[in-house]
Amino acid sequence: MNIFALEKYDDQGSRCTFYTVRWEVTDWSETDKFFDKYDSDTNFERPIQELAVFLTKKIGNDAGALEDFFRFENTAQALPPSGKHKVGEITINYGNFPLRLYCLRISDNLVVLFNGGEKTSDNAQGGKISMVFHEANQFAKRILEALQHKEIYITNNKREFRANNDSEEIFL
Amino acid sequence: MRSKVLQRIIDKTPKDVELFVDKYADLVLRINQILREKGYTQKSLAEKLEKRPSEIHKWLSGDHNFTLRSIAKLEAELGEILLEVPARKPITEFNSHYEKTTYTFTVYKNLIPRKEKVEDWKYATTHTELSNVG
Repeated sequence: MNIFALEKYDDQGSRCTFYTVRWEVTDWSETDKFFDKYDSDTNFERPIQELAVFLTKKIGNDAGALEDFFRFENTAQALPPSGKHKVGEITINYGNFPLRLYCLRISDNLVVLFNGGEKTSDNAQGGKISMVFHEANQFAKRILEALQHKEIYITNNKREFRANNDSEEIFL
Repeated sequence: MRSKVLQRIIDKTPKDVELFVDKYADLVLRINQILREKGYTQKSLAEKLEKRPSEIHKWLSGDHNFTLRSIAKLEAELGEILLEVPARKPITEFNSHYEKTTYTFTVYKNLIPRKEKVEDWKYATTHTELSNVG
């Protein structure tokens, strides 16, 4: 797997910090690619706004990353044996919400966002976004390994990642 | 910090979208919380509501829009309020040639003591068995 940066995406909320991943060779994070793509598609203008508000206001600043907001797909192959952390899909729980955004929920206070796509199949592993789902699992696996091997750690306030040299710049 | 792309989307999001997401998320959280508290599974709730488990799954996992009817059914079955509409005091509309004025009245009670009739002490002329009681 190529090197990627683990960097903050939104830390303005009082309840939860969002991180994202960015391939070292690009300027765009995976989550920015997702939001930008669907923001520029008029068919998805409202859903992408709902998702943005859901992330920043409801999860970020109001309730935190509660499990009820996530739908966990089967990702056993990408997980450590404990199964404590799973790659989930941030769920907007209503009427055929057409988008999926994959993420790694570390706790109520810390979530790593990946890329996502349209729901074209009931099963996340099927349909157009299977590649994105596979990639999300690879990112998640690497992040969890880095935590296990103490290449990175979570700060005492449970809201940030740090490299083992205490740097905020993290490349994995 | 916040991603510029994310901020750009937030900045152009209408207020009604924000309110809708907020209310819907609260509703889903409340339903899930009550189900857990009362020990319901989606299957047992479906049986109670005489609905197919798949329909309940749709309600709770995102493939179905709630309606007031479905919310009322859930409220009845769960015995809990899910949505509350804030009550307001009724407002009286006045015709244009009337105006509303508020007066305050203070009502005093008559505090002058009434003269009570005082009986002079008299010896009892008759004695009954109860006369000594007390």
